[in-house]
Amino acid sequence: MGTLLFFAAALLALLVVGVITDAGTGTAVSHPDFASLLRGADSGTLGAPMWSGYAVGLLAIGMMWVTLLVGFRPGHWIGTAVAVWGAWYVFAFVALMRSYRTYALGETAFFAGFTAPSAWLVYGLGLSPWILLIVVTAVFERAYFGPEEQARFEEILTTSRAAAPGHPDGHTDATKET
Amino acid sequence: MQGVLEANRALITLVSVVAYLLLCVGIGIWSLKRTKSSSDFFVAGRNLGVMVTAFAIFSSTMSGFGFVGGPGLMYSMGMSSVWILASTVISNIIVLNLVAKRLRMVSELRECVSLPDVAAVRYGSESVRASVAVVILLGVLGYLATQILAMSIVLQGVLADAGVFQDPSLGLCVAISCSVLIFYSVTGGIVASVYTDLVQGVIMVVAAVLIFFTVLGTFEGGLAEISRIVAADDRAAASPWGTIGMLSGISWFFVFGLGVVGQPHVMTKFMMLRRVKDLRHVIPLGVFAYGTTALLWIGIGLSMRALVLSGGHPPLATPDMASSEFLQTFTHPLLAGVVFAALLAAIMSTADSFLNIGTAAIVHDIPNALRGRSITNELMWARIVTALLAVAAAIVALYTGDLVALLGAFGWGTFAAGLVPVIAIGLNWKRASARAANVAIASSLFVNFGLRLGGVRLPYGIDHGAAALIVSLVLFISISFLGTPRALPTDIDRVMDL
Repeated sequence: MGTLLFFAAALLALLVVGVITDAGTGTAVSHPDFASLLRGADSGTLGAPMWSGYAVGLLAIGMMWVTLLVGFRPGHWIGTAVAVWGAWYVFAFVALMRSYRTYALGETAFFAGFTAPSAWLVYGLGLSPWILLIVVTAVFERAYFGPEEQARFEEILTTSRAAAPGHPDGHTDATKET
Repeated sequence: MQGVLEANRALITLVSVVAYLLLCVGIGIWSLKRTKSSSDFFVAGRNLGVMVTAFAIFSSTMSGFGFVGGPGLMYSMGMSSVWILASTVISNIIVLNLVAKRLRMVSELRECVSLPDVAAVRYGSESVRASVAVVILLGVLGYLATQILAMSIVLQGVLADAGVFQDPSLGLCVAISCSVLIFYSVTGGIVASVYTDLVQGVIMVVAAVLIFFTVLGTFEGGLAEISRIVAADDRAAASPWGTIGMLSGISWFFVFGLGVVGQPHVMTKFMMLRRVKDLRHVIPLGVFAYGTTALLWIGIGLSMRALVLSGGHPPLATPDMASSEFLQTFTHPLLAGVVFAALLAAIMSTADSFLNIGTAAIVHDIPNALRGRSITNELMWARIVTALLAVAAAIVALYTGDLVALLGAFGWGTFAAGLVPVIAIGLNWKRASARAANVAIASSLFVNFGLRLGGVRLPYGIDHGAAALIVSLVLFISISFLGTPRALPTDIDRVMDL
């Protein structure tokens, strides 16, 4: 939890500094010809410095990564796989940022239906987690919840229900009606 | 043949919509016999299979916003809202890791029927139960009102186009759509809700795939040509940030990616699953359905922007017209009929979920928090309150103007900020305390409402919900660290080790 707190506190600090310094008041502008369309300003960044995009993006991904490292059986290789996959996700985000920098300078490359940086967003950040999801699904019984966990859960359930009528450990069911 | 169909486009749409509404009524009658207790009404007797649970989760998440608001955002802002969609897969892995397994186990262990129930047994605190129930009620009222309003506007358009009524009033359309919603939600509770969700989900997926192929055919060169036209007009719109800006886009990714584990209408569905091990199939299936439906969001939105820019379609009066205009102009009449039914399905599937968790908060959680026990004849009261809550939300939708939009916009961020720490982190961290949970919830309401009502614009358009989530997480973890850890009940403690 300390790592999660660190990432969240860093994000909060950036936000507070931004508010105090009254940073980033720019907004998108109306399209000159079509009232229901908006156009971007400052090549789409609304004036935000690139370092802030890297910082906020990497901290947000860091928080997600920490939450991905929860819930599996200790010592299982899926932990290493999630860590490696986290490194790939950081790479995809950095690649998006670098591709955007090139795009902002005027170079327009397309990949699979989108501009290059948008393709990193759609396929890199959006669809590549499918690989991890498939792996997690494949090892679910061995790494997350298998027959061993099911047996332990049933034993907890039996013990808890046996204890419930007299409530010796102080708990009551949540749905008790009068 | 095509000419005949084209001439009867409005009638085909009306027939599709009426058939769909009758199907919902039929499912309501079917599920009446299957709802014998409050546990059936709120958590379907914890006996749902993989397919039903997966589609119930997906349908509740993909609301009318996905079919109307999403394409509208793509049309007006370019690529910005793809950040919301891009978080879908990773957010569901987080759901699997953090919440789904433990939520399902704790709910069976203590026979919980709602998230506030789970919070109460986890923290051993009725005040936490009350706080969670209040957050849910506030969010539900806003979300439900926006869904009812959207449902009625769709129906108004269908009835007007078909010439059934000269000028159908919004009030009449609210009455018709709410009657169907109330009927199946009252008779069958969550059982009717999840089975209508299954039907609704299948309709949505099929419609989205067919529409996406239609989109690809609107320009020679398909999606790449559409992107070229958008980029030629405004490079920012075709960039990953769209027009909303870099930090704002990333903040959407954050609040939607991490925030999904705080959405009560989604999380409650995991409590209904028959077996814990079924989670391995539920999550990928739900994500696949959601991702498929997102094709409609991206496809219609971007293509309508390109069509307007290239002179292929007149400019839209408002961005939210993107879907309906595309359907009326570019799709086969039969497909348009199916998609209008799907649109109504998307809205109703979310509305019935909110109706159910809102009812649970009023009938089950708040009485438990105040009196320490549930009310007598909970099932009967659940049915009565379901109807009353829907009527109250309809009145809010009709008569409170901008408040509906405010509450609707505030919903996701508030749930995320209030419930991610309390439920998601709390079920994985034994040190988390009841005091920290109450402070996190209070801060989520204060920051979210305060910033929005105060008209505060955060730097570079960063989302208010993201700010509220960061604040509540920092407070929750810090206060828990500073406090003295309290022993958990033995069974909860052991389940948290699994």
